Amino acid sequence: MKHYELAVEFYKKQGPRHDRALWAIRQKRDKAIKEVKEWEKLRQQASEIKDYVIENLHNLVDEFMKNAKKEGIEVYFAKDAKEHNEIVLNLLKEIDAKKIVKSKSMLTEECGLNEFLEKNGINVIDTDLGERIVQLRGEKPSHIVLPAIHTTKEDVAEILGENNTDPTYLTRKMRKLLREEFLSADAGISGANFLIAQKGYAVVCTNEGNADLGAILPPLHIISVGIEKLIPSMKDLGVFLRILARNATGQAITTYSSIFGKKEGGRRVIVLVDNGRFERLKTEFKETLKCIRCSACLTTCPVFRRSGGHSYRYVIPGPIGSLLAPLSDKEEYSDLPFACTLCDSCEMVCPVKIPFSKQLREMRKYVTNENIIIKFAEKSMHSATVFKLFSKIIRLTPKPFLEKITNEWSRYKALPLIPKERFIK
Amino acid sequence: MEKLDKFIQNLKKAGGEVLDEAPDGWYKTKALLGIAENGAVWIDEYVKELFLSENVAVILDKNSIVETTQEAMEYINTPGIFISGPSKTADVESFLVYGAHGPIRFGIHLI
Amino acid sequence: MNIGLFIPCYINELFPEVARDTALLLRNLKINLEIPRNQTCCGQPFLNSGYESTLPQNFDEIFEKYDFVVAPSSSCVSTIRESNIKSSNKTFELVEFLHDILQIRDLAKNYPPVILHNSCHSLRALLEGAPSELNIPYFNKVKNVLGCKVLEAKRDECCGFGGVFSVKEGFISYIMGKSKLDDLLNEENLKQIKDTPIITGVDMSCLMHLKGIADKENIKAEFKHIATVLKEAHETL
Repeated sequence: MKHYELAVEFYKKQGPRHDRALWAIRQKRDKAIKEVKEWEKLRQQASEIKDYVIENLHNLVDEFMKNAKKEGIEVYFAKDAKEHNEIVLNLLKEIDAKKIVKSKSMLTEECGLNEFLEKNGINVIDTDLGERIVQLRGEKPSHIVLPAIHTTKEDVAEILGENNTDPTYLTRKMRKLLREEFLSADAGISGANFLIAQKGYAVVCTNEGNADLGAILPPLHIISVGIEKLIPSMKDLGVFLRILARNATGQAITTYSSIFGKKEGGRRVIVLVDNGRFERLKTEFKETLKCIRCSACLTTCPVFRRSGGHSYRYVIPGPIGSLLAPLSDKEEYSDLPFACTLCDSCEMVCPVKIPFSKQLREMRKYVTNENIIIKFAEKSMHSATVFKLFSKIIRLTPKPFLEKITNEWSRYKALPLIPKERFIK
Repeated sequence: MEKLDKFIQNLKKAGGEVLDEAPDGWYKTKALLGIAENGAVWIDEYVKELFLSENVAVILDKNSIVETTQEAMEYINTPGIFISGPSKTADVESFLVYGAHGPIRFGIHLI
Repeated sequence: MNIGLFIPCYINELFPEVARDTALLLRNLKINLEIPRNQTCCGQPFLNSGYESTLPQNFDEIFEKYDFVVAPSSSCVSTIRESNIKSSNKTFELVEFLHDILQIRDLAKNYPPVILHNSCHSLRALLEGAPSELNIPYFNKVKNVLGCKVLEAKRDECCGFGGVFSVKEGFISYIMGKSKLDDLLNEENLKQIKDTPIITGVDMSCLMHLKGIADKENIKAEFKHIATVLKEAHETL
């Protein structure tokens, strides 16, 4: 099913609830960024840092690998999803791991790691409460920062087999269940929000503390991360830590921002993943590599708020997903760049200034095949005389026929009355 | 003192509390600096008790509060962690709940 | 000052009165105006649907001889701006032209209260006002030029038209339009209005979409392009 069909299905089930929940977050975000008087300057700085990163990505990867090794972290480079999954599986097999605790990582979603490990007999427990909820429901996250935003407290009670729908009660119950998993897991896997090239550190931001429990309790901690998460220095991290949580949820900073070096009394392994990123650097879509996954473009998108994340069918939904998905499968996701009104709201909230409107128009071109009729129409519109002829034809077309060919419009809205005469005669 | 007021205000916004002293039974640790703009503290002693304890008390020198995270990063050159308030989640229908996985209460004892 | 008036193709076909009012308003303001007869389309429908178009270059040739090009549509003007053609920097949306070039304020001071729909391209592409996404001081050029009581929606989000979107995603387009309409006609706004509410804006495309919903659902509102409001107001000044 395509976006427009899934969108109808979702809205008919949810009504305006999903939109209201996300708009409330958008408003919290607006309030938080307005408390920082130099906000627009920060966005400019963040954008410039990321421009530097994509221009120097090869060097930064080398610098990071060298410094991480010096720090005492094991580093691997995976060229694609398959290689990444195999590296992780081998690391887990080495220690005969049966169960791993995982915290949020869009990269592992992109690589399909959960399914791959499960197939190889390893029990994967997602530990972010939202991700655990969707995992138990047999779904995928519908939002990159709020994975279960499409569910209600009744849904959560149901999957836990509870009658009590009190959010505090349900959260405590999940905490208790997951605490047991943390204490008995063989390894922890997490993503990373930033990698510091200059030091070889990985930075992870969460509110729940699940990434930290997974990093500190089991003897092995694996960090799976895309190479675009690199930033040059600790100084640059200061810019991004001021931006990330404010733009994502309206918090001034996440509860935990952990800077990981070597693991005391255990192993820390970082798997850097390319999976098409170096190739993308050479295309007109390279600016999508600036994304820090703050999710503000999802939250603000008026289409996303009404259609829900699952209507995009890709691990990353919303405006940024509509740019990334067709790059992974052009045919399957050719509808996504059109699930958009080009309203520019995503571009305005983007903390690294990805030129969304321009990129979305480019992406529409990328997924659209040349069409002889359209080409002819375009050519003929260069001539005012031919245009006038079209205009005459439309005026002679009976209204029922017009309504029929504009079905998607006429089903919900009245067609404008066509005046007898145009202005420029 | 403006920085201190801002720090306390933002600590409370993040669900944290100001403690007159570190209570018995709470896990106690020391922070190297605090940040006024978000109420976070920087701790370079990264231990499991920070996350497994139900209550965490952090001792912070009033004079080591800086204005912004960017300013804080000028002093930080090692691994460690910024913490602002107790562990929290809003994953159950957007209701904010403290104590998602880590501490349910998180206090700062200012000296 | 030699001004070329660009009439967006859909306005020429569907809303000739908006084209007429734009021309009358500018002429009433003693602007030396020409309307090239060979103009057609800025190319937006093609460019936004994933096709190539050289219509902006065609536009460039037609309007080469003018000092300024004025058009009653922010979305067509932003297409011209983004096309990086010679005319990019001299092409202005009507309100932008009145506000920035002619420095006109309070043209509709004595006009009854209106409800303003800030269209996306006006707000976020041309920055005719401060979008809520940015941390910049509040301003609104449309309000400044009007000068009468101007009411706005609580959310400055998209109305759901989006050109090709309105036919590819008819349902979500409708849902967005309906919630925009509800927001424009919110209780607080209606309390401040005595007669049938007038909804205005710089883009007839958004207004056509909103009117389509209002007409189908018998929602009482009058939709008037900003050129019509300003022309009427100026005539009674």
